[in-house]
Amino acid sequence: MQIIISHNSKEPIYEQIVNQIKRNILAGTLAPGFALPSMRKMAKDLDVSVITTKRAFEELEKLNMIYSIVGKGSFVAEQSIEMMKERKKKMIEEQLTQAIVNSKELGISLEDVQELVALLYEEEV
Amino acid sequence: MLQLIKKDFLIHKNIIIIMFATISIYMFTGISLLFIGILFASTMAMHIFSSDEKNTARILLSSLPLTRKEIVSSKYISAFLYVLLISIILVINSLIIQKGFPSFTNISLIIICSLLIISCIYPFSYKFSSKYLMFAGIILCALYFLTMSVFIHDINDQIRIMVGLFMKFMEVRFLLSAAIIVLIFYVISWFLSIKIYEKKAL
Amino acid sequence: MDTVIELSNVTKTFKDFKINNVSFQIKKGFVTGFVGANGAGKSTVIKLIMNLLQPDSGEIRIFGLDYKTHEKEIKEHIAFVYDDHVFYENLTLNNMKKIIAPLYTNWDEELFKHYVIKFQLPLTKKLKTFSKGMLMKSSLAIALSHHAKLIIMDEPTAGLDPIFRREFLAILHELVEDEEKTIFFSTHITSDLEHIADYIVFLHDGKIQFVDELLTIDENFTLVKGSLDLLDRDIEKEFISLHKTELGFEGLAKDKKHIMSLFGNLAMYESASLEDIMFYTKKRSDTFATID
Repeated sequence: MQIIISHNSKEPIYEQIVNQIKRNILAGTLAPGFALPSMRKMAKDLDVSVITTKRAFEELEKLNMIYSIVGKGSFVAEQSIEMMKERKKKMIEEQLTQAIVNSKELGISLEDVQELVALLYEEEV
Repeated sequence: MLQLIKKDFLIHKNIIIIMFATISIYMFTGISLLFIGILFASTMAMHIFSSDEKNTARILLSSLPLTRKEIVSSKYISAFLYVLLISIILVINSLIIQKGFPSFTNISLIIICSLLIISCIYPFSYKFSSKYLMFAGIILCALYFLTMSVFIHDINDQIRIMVGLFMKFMEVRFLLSAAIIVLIFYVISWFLSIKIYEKKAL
Repeated sequence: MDTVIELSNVTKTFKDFKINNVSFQIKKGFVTGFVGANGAGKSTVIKLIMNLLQPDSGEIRIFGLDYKTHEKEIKEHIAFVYDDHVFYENLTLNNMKKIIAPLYTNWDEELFKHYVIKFQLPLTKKLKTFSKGMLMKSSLAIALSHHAKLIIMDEPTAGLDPIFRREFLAILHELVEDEEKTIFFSTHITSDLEHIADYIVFLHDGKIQFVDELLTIDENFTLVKGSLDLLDRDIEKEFISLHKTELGFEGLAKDKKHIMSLFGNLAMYESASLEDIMFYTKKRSDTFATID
C-alpha cells in the first residue's frame, strides 16, 4: 500500500489518508482482512502527528471500511453490500467518463449521448 | 547519594593532588599545623560547595532522580570526608617531613574547628550564595581590625596568649566533649541546610 | 493512567511576573507542544513541572504522583533537555555520563552508545569545547538512554541547524511509536510542531490561552481578509484582533464556521498558523493593555 500526502493541499491531511485508503479498498488493492500498519507507525512514516492518523483511522472505522482489535491493530473489513454498490458505482462512473471523453472528441452532443444511453439501457433489460 | 559523594571526589581529583603538594610546601615553612589544617579544610569545603553552586548545576542535580535532602546531605558527608582526608594528609606529611606524628591535640583541634566553620558557612551559603561569604568575611575582618585598633591595641598577642593557655589545659576529656558538641552542631547545621535548600527556587 | 502531567490551579508569583491559575493535563502517548512568546512563562511552568520551583498554590501531579512523597520515583521516569546546557563544563561527556548513569535504574548503556555514534559526539573532549548543537545532542543522548516515560524539553530546537532539527523531529516520531512515551516540549519555533504535535498548550502572559488538539485548532481558527466596509463595531468583536490598513483588514477568528456564515463569499479565508495565533493574541492583549 502506498500513501502520498501533501502538506500544502487544501484538503486536510487526515482526509487525504482516509481517501487514499478508501480508494485502495474500493479498488480491491487492499483485500478484506489485510492488516494496516499501526497508526503510530503510519504517523512516523508519513511525518504527521499521531492524532492525525488516529483521526483517519476513526473515520475509516465509522465508514465500516476497517475494524480495530485492541492490541492487534486495524484490518480491512469485509465489504458490505453498500460498499460493493459504491465500488461498482465508481467503476460505472469511470467507464461513463471515458465514454463522455470519447464522445467529446468526436463532437457528439450531450443529447445524442443521453439518447444513446437511454436506448442501450432499454435494450439490455 | 553515594554517587554524589563519589562525584565530589572525582571532579576534584586534580585539586586533591595539588593540595597534597601545597601542604608539604607549607609545612616546610614552619607555619603552625593547626592553621594550615583549618585553612585547607575550609577552603576545600567551600570549593566543593561552589562547584555545584552554579544554577545550571543545581538544575541538573535537582532534575535527576535525587531528592534535595540527598543533595545537601551528600555535601555534608563529602565535606566531612575532606576534613578527614586533610588530617590524614597532614599526618603523612608530618611523618615524611618532620619524621614524627603530629600531636593528637592538634589534629583533633583541626577536625573540630573545621567542622565548626563548615557548620557556620554551609547554611549561610545555601541561604544567600557563597559569594556573599566573602563580604561577610571582609566585614568580620574589618570589625576585627577596628576592635584591635580602637579598643585593645595588643589583641593579637592577647589571642596568642589565650590560645597558648587553652592548649596547655587541653585534656582528652575536654577534647571529647568539644568534639561531641561540634558534631551536634554539625548535624543541626545539616538539617538547617536541608530545610533552606528544599524551599529554594532554582 | 492516561494523564501524565496534571496542573490544577497552579499559581506562582514573582516580583514582576505571575503564573496565574494555570491548569492543564497532558495525555499519555502523545506529543504536546508548549507554545507562547518569549517571556510568556514557558520555562517557569517547566520548572514547576520539574519541581525546581514550588507553586504558591495549586497542585502538580506527575504520573498521578505528588513530588512531596514520590520525588525519586517521578524523576526516575523523566528525561529532561533544557535550553541552557546544564552539564559540568570541565568534564568530558564520558565522565558526565559516569556520574549520571548509576542514578537511573533503567540506564541502557547500549542505547547511549547508539546515540553517541548517531550524533557523532566525542566522548573524551571536555564539554566546554562543545558547540551549542553538540551540547543539545549530548543532553538528548543522556536523556534518551534511560527509557523514560515522559520526555520534557525546554526549547530543544533553539540553536540547532535545520538538518539536525529534522533529524530531531524524526527521533521524536520514533519515540512516540511506543505508545507508553509522552513528549512535552516548549518552543517558539512553531513550524517544528506542525508535523509532530498532537496537542498544543498555549501560554500567554502567565495564563493558559487554550489547550487543544492541533487538528482542532487548524479547523477552527481562521485568518479573514476583506475590505473595511465589511466591519462594524459588533462584527469586530468576533475577532481575536484585527489589523487594519487603508486597503483592507486582516483578522484572526476562532470559530471558522461562524465567521464564514457572517461574511459568506465577501471575505477571503486562510488557514491560521500557530504563529498567526500567537501574533494576534499578543496584539489583543496589547490593545487591552492600552485601554486599561
